[in-house]
Amino acid sequence: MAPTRLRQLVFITTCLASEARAQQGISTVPHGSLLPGTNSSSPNPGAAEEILVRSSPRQRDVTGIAVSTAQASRLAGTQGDPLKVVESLPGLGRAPFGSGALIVWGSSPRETRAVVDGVEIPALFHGNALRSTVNGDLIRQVELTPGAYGADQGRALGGLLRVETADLPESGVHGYASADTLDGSAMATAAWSDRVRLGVAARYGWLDAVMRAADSPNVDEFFAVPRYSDIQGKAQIALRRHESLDAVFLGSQDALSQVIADPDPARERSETTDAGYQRFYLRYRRHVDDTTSVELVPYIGHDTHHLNAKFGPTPAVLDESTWHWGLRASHRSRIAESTTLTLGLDFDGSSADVFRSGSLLIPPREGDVSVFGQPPGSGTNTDAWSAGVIDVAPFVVAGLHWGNLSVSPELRVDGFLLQTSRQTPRIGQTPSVGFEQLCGEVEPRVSVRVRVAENLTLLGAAGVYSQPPDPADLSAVFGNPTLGPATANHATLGQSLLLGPSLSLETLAFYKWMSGLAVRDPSPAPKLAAALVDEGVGRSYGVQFLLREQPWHGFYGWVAYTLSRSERQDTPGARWRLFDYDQPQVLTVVASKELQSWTFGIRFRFATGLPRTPVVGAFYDSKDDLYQPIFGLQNSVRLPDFWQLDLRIDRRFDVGNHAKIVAYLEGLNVTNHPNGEEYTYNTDYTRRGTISGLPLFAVIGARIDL
Amino acid sequence: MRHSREAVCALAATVATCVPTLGPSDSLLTSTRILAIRADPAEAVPGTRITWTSLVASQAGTEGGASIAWSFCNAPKPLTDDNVVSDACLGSSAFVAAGVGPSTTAPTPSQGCSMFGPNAKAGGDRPSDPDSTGGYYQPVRAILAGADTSFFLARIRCDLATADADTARAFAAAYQPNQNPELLPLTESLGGSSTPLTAVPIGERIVLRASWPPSAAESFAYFDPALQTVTTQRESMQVAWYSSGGAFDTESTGRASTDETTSTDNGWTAPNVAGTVHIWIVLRDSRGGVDFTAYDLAVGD
Repeated sequence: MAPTRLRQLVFITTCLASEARAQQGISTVPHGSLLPGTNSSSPNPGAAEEILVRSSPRQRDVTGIAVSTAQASRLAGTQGDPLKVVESLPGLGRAPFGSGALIVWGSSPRETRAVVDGVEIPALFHGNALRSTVNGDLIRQVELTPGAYGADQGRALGGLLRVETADLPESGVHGYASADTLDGSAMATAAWSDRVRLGVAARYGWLDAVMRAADSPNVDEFFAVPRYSDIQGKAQIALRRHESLDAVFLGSQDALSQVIADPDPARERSETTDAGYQRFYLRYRRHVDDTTSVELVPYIGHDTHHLNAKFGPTPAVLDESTWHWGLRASHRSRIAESTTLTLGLDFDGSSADVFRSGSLLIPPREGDVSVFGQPPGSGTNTDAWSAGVIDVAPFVVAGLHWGNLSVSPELRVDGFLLQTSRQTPRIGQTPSVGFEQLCGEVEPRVSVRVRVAENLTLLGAAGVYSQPPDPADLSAVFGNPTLGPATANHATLGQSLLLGPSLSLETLAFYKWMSGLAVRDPSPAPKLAAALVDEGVGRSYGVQFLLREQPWHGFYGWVAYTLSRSERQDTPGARWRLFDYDQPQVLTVVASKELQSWTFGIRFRFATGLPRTPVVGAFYDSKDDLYQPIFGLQNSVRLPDFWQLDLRIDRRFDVGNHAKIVAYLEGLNVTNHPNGEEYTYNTDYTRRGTISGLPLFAVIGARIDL
Repeated sequence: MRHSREAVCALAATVATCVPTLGPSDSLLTSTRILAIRADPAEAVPGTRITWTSLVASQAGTEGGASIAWSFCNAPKPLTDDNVVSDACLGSSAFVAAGVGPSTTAPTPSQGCSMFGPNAKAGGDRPSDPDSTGGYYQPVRAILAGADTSFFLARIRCDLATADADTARAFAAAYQPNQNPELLPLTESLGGSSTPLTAVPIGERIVLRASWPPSAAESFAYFDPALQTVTTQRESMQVAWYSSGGAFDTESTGRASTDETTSTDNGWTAPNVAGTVHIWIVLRDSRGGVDFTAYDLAVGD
């Protein structure tokens, strides 16, 4: 069935733009188990040895792939950080060097959400993707669902990364301290009583200090030097039987700066980014058995993001301050012998104050055509606005089980209230006129599993998804206050084959169609307050394979391969072009072997080079004394293919009966292969060179566990 | 101590990317090029007759009789073009011929403020964005056979369209159109002592100083869109350095708007063979004003 037809059949959208609301100043409403899943919840973080092959039955994301933190943290390439294992999972494209972006199945990084216990966090990794923003020892498992996820989550066209926090140890005082060349971290937990357990963790990055000590104080002329820290706290209270209440705080702060000095002020460049988030949530759980449970998660949080860039005389400032709040609630019960029913509510609100000044082209968007290092056009502008998004999303999930067949029809209805403080650019002291719209998105979803043989299960999933616009895109100057939600249809079909007691092969074909994507208006005469238009569409299709060995005599690992194609069409009738992050082939081989107190790990990665737009000529800009590139067909060439081999070795030393020390050495890109990360050109664009990425590099570290 | 880029790459590999070196500096002329274009007057309302004068140079020296085909591009730049002119300006349409020769005089298109300025092209259209000095520009194309196509952005004066009437009147009263800056004679020194341009030792590095009078870096009225008030800015100055031989330390130098120094230095290392070397210096202010000059240096033992 053609995707457009599919969408017509299953997708109902109503968008009601309210009458413009006059305002004074800035004022808005504030803003599966193919294999039996093994719950790796452990009273002792870091001690769990089980590995989850599929999500727990409650999550039912048939496309989800979960990994326990105990094994993830000992894989090559993670530097002991279990969240970094997502880089090695199928369905995820390789992010551009140092970005840490989650690119799944043809979706932009902003179209994939990361949630911790169901609560969204804006950044999974610190700057340059060196570390995750949540301490690995506080995490029970990581599950990546690249598409067709369940109705309990929404607001993301792409995939979903679910992070589950771990239960704290039931008794005693425990902790660890760790240090390596990147940062230091520590965690302490204590069982206050039979009912109350507490845990705190913190990390502080010192790579900038290490680099300055080892090299020169002006190192940030060459590199975006990351400075980061994070802190987490968790209190776990046992209530009545089957009942628990968690209180969790997550905080993260990042700063990146790069200054390229030049004797000509018109050619100086600098970019400073400060970003942080805080989240606090309560999590009430009443878990009677696998079919009866209640969960309630109220949360509040705050995000800040400040970008200050300067390309010679052209500045760019983007300041965002966003409050988030919400409530997630679900009730699951068995309503018949073979039927379970989950009723839930996903309520989320956000209120953003945004100030932006400078070039329209900074920060860049997917689909922008430029070359590395090219100054933006000289046009500048300024806007300050507020934007609010409220999403009330009730959902229902039915679980039907008949023998070897499991079917889960699901329905989610997102009711979006989108508000902006200005629908036209500011002129003098004229009072601003706001804009608000109500949009309803009806999103049916379904997943099916059929066990056709003892060792073979077929599965399929499909659904409709929506995502509200980014508040930063709702500017009357830089964006469009009337943007509505973008939508996507996902469809997957696959199988899981048990090849042995611990070896499985999973195959998944997927197709995704996206519409209503916000893109820049390409016309020479765009309309006022419509620099962005929601006319973009995209498609992505492919197949992914996962050959996975569960722990067997201390050996485990997997081979993940994804073959795909992702394309975008920016305006109706325009030529289909490759998606900026299109990677037809991504291969990851991960293996780890434990030998007594030693662990040896290896990771090999291959990815097709990202698309780039060729430069076919240049002209001279006499006003600014710069050559400007003339581009060929958009995204018609590629960067060189990427491949890298990483090795890891660690040694555990038991100290007495209660402590151990783990020392590790990781070699990244041990063959010193010069991977091309970007093309660069000489002044008049007559010569092209390749910027190479990570050379051979070693990370040495140790941690002590008590 | 400043380490080499290679050393830094090796030490800071966790976050490093290493940039390759791609050929000679832009300062070294290896072919015929249009180095600069000056408009007189430097800023005027659309429809005003403007004289454009080129500086064309090659290894042989300044080429005063270049046959340049001048034209105006009338295609506004889409928001998707990360460039100074529309891609349409690189094609064969959307042009109005403006003469042929090393210089030309022609009136700028009268619709400049709607095509490239703050006036909407049609009802409900988005006006163009000004540059960081508040300026709008009419693209002027210069084609010289055997050289790269060049564009000059001629600053056009338009009314303030994004402010209330009182602010717009205040801005119009305070704003002074840009004037081209003036280059003062070049001075040079060798080892801290003055040395004549007619006797530069082979292989030696001399320091050249370009200077301008204090009035060249003008102050001008600027409408701050964030504050919605009229403020004052001062021009920054940029000097581009070119030569037919030897090597400059850097391709361009300059002074920020906050720096009141009226000169800037650049080192130049003479070639290892005796002969005459041509050098060209182009002074630009941040509002598009230009001045240029040429010198011949005698390199000998």
